Amino acid sequence: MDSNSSNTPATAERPDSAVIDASIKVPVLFFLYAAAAWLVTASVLGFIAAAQLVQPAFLADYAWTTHGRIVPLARNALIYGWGFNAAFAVLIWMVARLCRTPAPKWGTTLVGGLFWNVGIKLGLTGIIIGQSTGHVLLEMPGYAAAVMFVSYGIIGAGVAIIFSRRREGSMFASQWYGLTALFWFPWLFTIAQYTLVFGSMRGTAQAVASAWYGHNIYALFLGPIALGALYYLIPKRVGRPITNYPLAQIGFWSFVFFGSFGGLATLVGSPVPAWVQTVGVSSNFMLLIPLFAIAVNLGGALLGGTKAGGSGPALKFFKLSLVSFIIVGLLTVVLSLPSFSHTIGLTFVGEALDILHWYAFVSFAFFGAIYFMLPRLIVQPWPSGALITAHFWATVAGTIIVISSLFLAGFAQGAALNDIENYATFADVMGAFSGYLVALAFGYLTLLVGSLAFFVNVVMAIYQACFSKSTASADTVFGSPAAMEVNS
Amino acid sequence: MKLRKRRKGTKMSQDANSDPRLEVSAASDQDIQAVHASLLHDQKEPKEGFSLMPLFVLGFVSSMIFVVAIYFIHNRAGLSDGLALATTIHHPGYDPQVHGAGDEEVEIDVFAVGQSLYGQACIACHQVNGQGIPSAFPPLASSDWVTGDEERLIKLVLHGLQGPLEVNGAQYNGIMPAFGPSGIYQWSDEKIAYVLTYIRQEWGNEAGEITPDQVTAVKEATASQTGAYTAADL
Repeated sequence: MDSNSSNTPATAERPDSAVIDASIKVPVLFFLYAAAAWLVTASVLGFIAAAQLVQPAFLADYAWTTHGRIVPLARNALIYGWGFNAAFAVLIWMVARLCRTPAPKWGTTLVGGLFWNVGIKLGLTGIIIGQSTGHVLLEMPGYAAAVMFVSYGIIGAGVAIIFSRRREGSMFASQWYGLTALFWFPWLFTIAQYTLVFGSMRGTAQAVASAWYGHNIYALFLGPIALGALYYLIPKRVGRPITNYPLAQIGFWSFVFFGSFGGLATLVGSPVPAWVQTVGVSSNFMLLIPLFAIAVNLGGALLGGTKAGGSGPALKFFKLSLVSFIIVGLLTVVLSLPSFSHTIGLTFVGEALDILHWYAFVSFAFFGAIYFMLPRLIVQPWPSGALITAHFWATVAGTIIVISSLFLAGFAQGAALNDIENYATFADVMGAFSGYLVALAFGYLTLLVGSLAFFVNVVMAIYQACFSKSTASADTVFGSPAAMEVNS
Repeated sequence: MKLRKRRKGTKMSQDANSDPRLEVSAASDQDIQAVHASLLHDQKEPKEGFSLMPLFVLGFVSSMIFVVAIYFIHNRAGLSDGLALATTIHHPGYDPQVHGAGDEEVEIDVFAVGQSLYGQACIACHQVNGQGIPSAFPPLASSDWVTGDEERLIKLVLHGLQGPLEVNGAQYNGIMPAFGPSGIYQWSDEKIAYVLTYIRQEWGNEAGEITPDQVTAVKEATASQTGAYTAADL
């Protein structure tokens, strides 16, 4: 379906998709492997943390396995390990494809990727031995952050070089989001590290900076890359353009303008100046504009059904991701209203929103993108259909169980905390929601099963790509090489 | 220019497309970019009827701005102060130990501070009404020891007082602890001055204020005093 049918002089000079994919194959496969491995690590740690809420004595005999260290370990492994590695893979592939430019070389990106993961390992070791800084998502000690910052620079430079050599004139919506995120993260990271870890910010300002960073790591880095992937892959998968493309511009610019302040709404009810909380709530209200634009555009493209065949998991993940994006946007607005935040402030509901934002929206988009891109990178189908099915259903079920048990636990907890008549002691409050925590641990166990299925499938795919002696051409591997974009 | 029109040129074998291990793409990258670029820039295509979307978007965005602006104005408490403070919040040289009280002169209510200090220490013996406890602790209200000689009052608070004592005709024999450098309280000259001003102006007492400078002067003059005074010394 590529240039054969529409050979204009401009498109004829452009390299084929297969050439582009081959040029970035090694680093992207490395990022995918690292992402899947971290996902399993984070799922194990997340399950241990949830089990400790049910049975506090579980693994409580060693300092490094106590709840206070397992929770930041799980969170950092999930965000910086799985999230960032997957984001790098999706971003590099998406930018190279949409710029129609093969990467000039992949060695430096691979080195950057290796050191990024070394940095995470250093940081997690720091948390294990008790050097955590105590700021959410900045728990890793300063030396690890320095390694991560430099390696991010190397990876980011690789993407910027591809972009600077682009052979496609028009900038598609995916590139707006992806490239903005690329430059947003160093800004977020340096400001947060400077003010909280290396610097001298004090008192209330610490809470503000911490909430700002903790939210923006989703809202300004992982979220935009996930949106970019949806903007690219939904039209590509269903064969129908975005419903109202000019609306996408309004959506993007309002997102850019208001996105970074939304995190301040998590401070509602805490002892920071009222106007800081108001800025957060107002921004979340204004973020309904990009939410509307994205829902109309992507939802409209999806609702018509797919023009291509196939029953792969990518489209299902994209649909769920988009639905989660809409739900989390609306819930963030509704729950930050004072009448709700009075009950649910400082309860499990905050974590439920984080998981909804981070897992059900961002990770589902990444899963879909990975299911789409990996067969093209290795020029072979995914090794196991059964593992795909297992991953999809375990992940969806696990996410639903985790989010709903966190929401129920949070509302029960908030109601009990506000009811001094019937819940006089802390133990009484705990008793009000401890049942939901059993469901939470079960949900994390389900997620772990899904993560293992995904990891095994990714490792088998990479093994096949490296060691398979198959000389079958793309034509025989794929029924329709054109649709797989591998008929070079 | 729609993607679905382009698709007519492609031949896809549908049977291979049902494999869940593959993800079939329905549009090439060029198609996606071409279609969307034309959606963005090409206004040539004639449109039938009237599109409600731009009007709706305009109304939606405007009403959001309106509602949020009203909400913001109603809940902006502390914004003006916050903007002024924003420049000092993150100052690398800021040290609360040094700058905690602020660099500018602070206007304080001597009487209120004195009352608070009285509540921290003196109140245990001399009671909230300044009457003391008969035959155990002497009263402060209407006492010549309080409203009379300023230097004598400062001395006994700085260094303490013990032994027989006559106040308003009643006899006492107890111990008043030292609040100056020799005692356990280690109050500053300011604190002593404030609390003395308080007791000289409360419960119907109407004596003059005692300044920190007076306390400092007495403290320096009596630096050689060790241990508590007796009534006879004073």
